Amino acid sequence: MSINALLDWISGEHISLVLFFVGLYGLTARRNMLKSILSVGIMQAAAILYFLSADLAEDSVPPVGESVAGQAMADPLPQAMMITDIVIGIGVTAIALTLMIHLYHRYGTTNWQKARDKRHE
Amino acid sequence: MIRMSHDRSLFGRLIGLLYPFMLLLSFYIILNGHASPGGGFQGGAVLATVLISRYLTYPVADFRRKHLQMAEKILFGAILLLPILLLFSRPGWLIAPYDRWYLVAMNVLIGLKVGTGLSIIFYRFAAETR
Amino acid sequence: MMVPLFILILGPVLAGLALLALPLRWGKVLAPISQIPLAVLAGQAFLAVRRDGPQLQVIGGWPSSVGIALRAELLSLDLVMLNILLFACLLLYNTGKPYVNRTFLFLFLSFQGLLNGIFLSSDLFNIFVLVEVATVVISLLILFKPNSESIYDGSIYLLTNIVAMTFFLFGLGLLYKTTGAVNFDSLKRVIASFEDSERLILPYAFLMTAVSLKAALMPLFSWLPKAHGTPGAPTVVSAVLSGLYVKGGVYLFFRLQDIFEPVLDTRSLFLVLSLMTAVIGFVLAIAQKDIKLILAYHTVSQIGLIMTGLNMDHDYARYGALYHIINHAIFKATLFLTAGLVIERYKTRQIGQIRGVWREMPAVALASLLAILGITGAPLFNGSMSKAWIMVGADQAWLGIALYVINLGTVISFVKYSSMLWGKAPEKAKRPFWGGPGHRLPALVCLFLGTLCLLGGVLSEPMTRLLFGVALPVDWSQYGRKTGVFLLLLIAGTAIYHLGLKHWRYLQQARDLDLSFHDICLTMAAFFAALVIVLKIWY
Repeated sequence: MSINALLDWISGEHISLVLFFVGLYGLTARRNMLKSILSVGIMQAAAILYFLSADLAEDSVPPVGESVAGQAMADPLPQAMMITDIVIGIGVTAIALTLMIHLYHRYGTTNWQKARDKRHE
Repeated sequence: MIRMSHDRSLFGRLIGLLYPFMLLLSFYIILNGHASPGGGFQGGAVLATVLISRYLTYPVADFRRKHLQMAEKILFGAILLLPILLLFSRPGWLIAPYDRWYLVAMNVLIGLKVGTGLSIIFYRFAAETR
Repeated sequence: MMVPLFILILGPVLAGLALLALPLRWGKVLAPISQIPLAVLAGQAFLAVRRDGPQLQVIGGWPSSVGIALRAELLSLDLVMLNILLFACLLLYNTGKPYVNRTFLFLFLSFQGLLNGIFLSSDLFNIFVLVEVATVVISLLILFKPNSESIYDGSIYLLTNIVAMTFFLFGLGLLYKTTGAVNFDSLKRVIASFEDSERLILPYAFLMTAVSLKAALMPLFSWLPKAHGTPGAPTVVSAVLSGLYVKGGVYLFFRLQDIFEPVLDTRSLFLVLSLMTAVIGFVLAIAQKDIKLILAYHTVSQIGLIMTGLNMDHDYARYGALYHIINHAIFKATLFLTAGLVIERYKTRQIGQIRGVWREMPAVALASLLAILGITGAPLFNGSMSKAWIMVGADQAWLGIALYVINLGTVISFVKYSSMLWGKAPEKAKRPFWGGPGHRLPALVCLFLGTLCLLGGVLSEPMTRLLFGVALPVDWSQYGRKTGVFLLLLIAGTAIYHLGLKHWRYLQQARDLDLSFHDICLTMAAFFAALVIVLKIWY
């Protein structure tokens, strides 16, 4: 694969797919709960990147305020959806981290495996 | 964990100088949200950095978190009630969906709510992990 | 004029918010009362839909392509009404419980609003938002009386479900890119005329992985018993999760299949998965010793049955499955509520240590028995009707046999469960019918729900006509035979349980089958990969 083909391949959509599975790998391969939460964060970022880059035309302007004639506006729907998702993502991450702190206080570990063993005791 | 001596360091003073600008920026983003990229959430996030950076330089939670939580609940209620009363119940009855003042009011409410909400989350964590 | 539907969603949230400002004493009384206006509204909407057909409302008067649209049709309003009925019962049941505080009421009522929102939404992104928020609210509710088990269980629940919803979101992104739509109607229109089915495989696989986890389909069910049966979760939370919330996943599955069916017909695949879910669900239910876990695994099994009905190519089976959704909500709620009262009295959750509920708390035992008769499909009870309709759709012999096996499994697991009703009570003194002071209202609620199990069976014909607008005839002349079959199943079940299964070694091992967080994520990835590969081969 020539370097140009590689550069062409690198686009928001492809990177987001790669990121999504990087996150999934992190979920299955890391035993620490904090890393699981980070992996979920990566997956969410991937989804956001996908939404924002999937249908984006080059040099389009933000879909709000006054538009200049002749310039394409970006599709507002994915942007509206993603600002919602970012807000939700923050809430979810905060709750997950709170749970992690509780888990740590209760079991003295943030390792899934050890926490599981302690739960079954 | 960032720990600094309780007397204000140079860093703290610099941050102190920045507060007005942070506030200004956040309200600029909130108030222009209906006409430019930005809006309640983005501005609220900047607003929250004011309290967060204050804690980072001066780690004492000397204000009441309870008051902040109360404010957040009231704002949440207002965010639900305003559209219900003005917009949802009878479309186009009182104001048009794109009414500028309505959008500004909602952006302000959301900005304040996000600002208080994020600060509460941060201070909670700060208290938990101390 | 049609009722504004958004009140069904925001009303409970606002009520909960208002209760935060009032003293708890009032809140406990006002929370059940708040269900009355909701019920009236939902009833009005239901009547309007029955009169004029499905309705679409765009909130705030925006054009429908921009605004948030709510869609009212018979099925969604049935589920909304069921939701209100259950919550009214649960809130009444809960009035005397010590852990109830204002935050609990707020979260619980918000959860009701979110559920209504899931049933009324007409686009996938709104459903994503509502489900995600519901996930957060539920994990707070599960952890309301935190103890050392429930924190682990709550973390598993939260993280697996967030991962699933991330799959959902990514699938939604791919779908939006391919079809340019996220709402049901336009998706259905676009996909029905879609030439290139291969491009739909990836979004479909992403979405279905998430929905299968939400609906607790095999092999993605292992979070469910943890969440529904965890010791710390308040009884009403377990009841509503098992009775209703998991049906949100099934409802979503139903909607998505409806959209994708013309292009990607996966019914046979999901039929097999559903049957396996039903079987493994009751096997694990039989293996459990903790009464809440027996019920939780049993939910898995019943979900399998419902999904089996939905994936059969037959109208009777589909409506039977939809009716079973409602029936299951009622008897599973009854079972969880009675189990909660029993646990409170006996201070243990081990089935082996609970004996003589009949003598100790007769009303609770009666309600329990009614629900057990309902879930095992005893003649005249609601379960028998919906199961019979699902059975009609079994067009091949092996399917019919599989359904009988599932029913036999249900009977066996409830032979085990009902063992706590019989035997001697720990104390000699006979308790009053309601089971002592403070138990009257909860027991009354349980009895009311138990009676609904019977009514849902006797009145199944008019009920389905009312709720779904279809006439499903019940062949009463067959009833003698059906009763015979049920008695045979009952005898066989009792015999199998007491003679063989009770001491079977492998059953003990099945109880220890417990997937860790990584296993669940790995299964999710494998499920997704398998789905993509199968679809690639088929299309």
